Amino acid sequence: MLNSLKTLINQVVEQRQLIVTLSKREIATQYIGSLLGMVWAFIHPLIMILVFWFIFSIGFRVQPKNDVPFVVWLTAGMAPWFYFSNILTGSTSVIVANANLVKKTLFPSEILPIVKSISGLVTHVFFLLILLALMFFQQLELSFYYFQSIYYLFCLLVFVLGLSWLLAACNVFIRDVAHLVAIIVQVGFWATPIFWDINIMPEKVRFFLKLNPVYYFVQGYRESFIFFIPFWKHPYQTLYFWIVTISLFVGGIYVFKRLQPQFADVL
Amino acid sequence: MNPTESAESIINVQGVSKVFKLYQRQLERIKEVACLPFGGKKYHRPFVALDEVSLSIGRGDTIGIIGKNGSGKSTLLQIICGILQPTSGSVHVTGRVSALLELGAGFNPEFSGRENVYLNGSILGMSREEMDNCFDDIAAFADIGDFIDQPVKNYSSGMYVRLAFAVAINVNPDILIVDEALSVGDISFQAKCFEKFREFQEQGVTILFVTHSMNLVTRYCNNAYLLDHGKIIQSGAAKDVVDTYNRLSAGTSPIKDNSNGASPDEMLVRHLRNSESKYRTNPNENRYGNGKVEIIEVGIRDINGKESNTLIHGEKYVFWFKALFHETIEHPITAYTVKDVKGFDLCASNTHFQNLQIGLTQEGEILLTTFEHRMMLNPGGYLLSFGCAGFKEQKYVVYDRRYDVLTFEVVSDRGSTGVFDLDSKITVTRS
Repeated sequence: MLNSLKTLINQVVEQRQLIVTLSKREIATQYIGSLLGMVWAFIHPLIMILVFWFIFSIGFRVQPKNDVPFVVWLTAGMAPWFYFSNILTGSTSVIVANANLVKKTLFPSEILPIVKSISGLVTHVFFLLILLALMFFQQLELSFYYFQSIYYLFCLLVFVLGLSWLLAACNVFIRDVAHLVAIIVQVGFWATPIFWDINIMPEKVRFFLKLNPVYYFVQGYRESFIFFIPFWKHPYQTLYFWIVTISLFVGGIYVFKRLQPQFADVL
Repeated sequence: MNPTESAESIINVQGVSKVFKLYQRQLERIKEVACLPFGGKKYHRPFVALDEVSLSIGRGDTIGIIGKNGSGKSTLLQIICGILQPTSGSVHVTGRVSALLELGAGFNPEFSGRENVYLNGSILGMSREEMDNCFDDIAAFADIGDFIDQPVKNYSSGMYVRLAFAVAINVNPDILIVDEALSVGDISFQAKCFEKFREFQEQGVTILFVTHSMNLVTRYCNNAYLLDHGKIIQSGAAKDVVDTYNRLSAGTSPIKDNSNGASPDEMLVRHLRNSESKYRTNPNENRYGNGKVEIIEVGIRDINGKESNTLIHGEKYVFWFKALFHETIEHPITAYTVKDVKGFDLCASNTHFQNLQIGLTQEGEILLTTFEHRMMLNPGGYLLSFGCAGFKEQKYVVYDRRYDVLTFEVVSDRGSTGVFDLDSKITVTRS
């Protein structure tokens, strides 16, 4: 099991140039041929924030959280979630989508989820820029805690990569996985405290909600940008998150490496 | 150690079998996995694509793999490339493999040729700097002009294969593996590719290719393997293997029925044998070339040296032309082609195909090329073309080509139909 982790890390380091080339290609494919090009990377998150802001601030009249406008609070939670769900849905079907490469060339398919993560970073950065712009207009204070978001970004990536390898490999054999993931992502958006505050839930329910690893980094982003709480203030949650994430990461790689030789047979 | 395995063996395949599990439905695959801990009920139908295949290929060999459709050729190549894992047996490959298994696999249609070249290069394990160094060679070899900066989706299939091939052979492989891709390119590109093959052979690059063109196998391969139903049924000298293949496929191909015979014209034949005929070159010939060589005289003569353009079926004739060199040229290639009146190429050959090295030809020299053969074409009108071409800095250059420069008629006193006469001896016995 640790061997497959070691080989994978070696391969990724070896293939770094290919990863960069493919990521650039992936980013370009998203916007190539469209009139507005990269502007779409900006418009998409903006519209999403506008819609949610309109429904919740104007429609439901949700009150500001700790003197922070709802829209800022919302954006800080939505940014990691959308990055996460983007990578997850993309990676699950990524091997099948690149069947031609896997079947007809000697291609290191394990790098594909990494490529998805890197190319998704563009939209994520735009999301964060919108967040910073909003905070700037609201004249919120600047803080070194902003940099803590890098730690949570790292958490997000390790978690999503492990999950991606697992699901991408399974999806080659059972195509239903992709559909299942699409539904889980839908449900996950509502089940994770993204546009609602976890504190509106009773104490007992809150405990179970916190078992969701996604909650760890969604909340983490908010604490980095809004509440300025360092991550070591939640030692148990941090420990729990890393136990889950590392097992998933190692397990995901193990399953992927075991199934990889048969990809070309099935595709 | 296996006796066939030399010290120089670069590809070594030992007892490789590949069994595909065929399922009626995806659900059965899951059921089978789920049943595994409980005794394991089998739902699949095994399909043996390769059965105990062993081969050993030395450095610098050019190997043809032939066989009917579905005989396992492509599976074997995929296993040698490492794309598919064998069910049993072992594969050892030393050196950088460059494989062209499918036309433009790994090409992204939205991107320009240039970007795809770099992408393909990085899939083949080349660094950006290495690609920068060989990009010009690739572009020159593909020779698709400004299309290199156009999205690949706008390419014709010929351009596709040119670019894909150019990448595959310019990344300095130790082993080049080609699956059927070449057949898409036009003649001049194919000629260029085979010129490159020859260069590779000299450099000790191992070439492995799958083809249905037996011509290519006999001409370029020193060894061949014949696969049938996943087994190697013959290996050895290319010519012998091709013979076996032809016998094998003859057993399954339908025999064409040609019943409408052309009437023999014995009178005309007799007349021609006794008279002299004059002919002129075709006023509608299609001539092009860079003018470095000029084809100044052309003709067809019979074995007595008599010029003629009405040829008697079954007799020997010489197609000849004289070419005046306006420039000193190394290794020119002289060629002829015979087409039917519909413009379909019937037969052609050149000095390059026949490994005839003309060598350095000085300015002012006049070269006479003669092509002697027995006229086995059936009665009808035909067009004869001559050409002089060559390679200059890896590029195929046409010095002078005179398409359809002569027309000739074949007459016969024997009944036979179709394009070609195989000189059939027919026996019918009653038992």
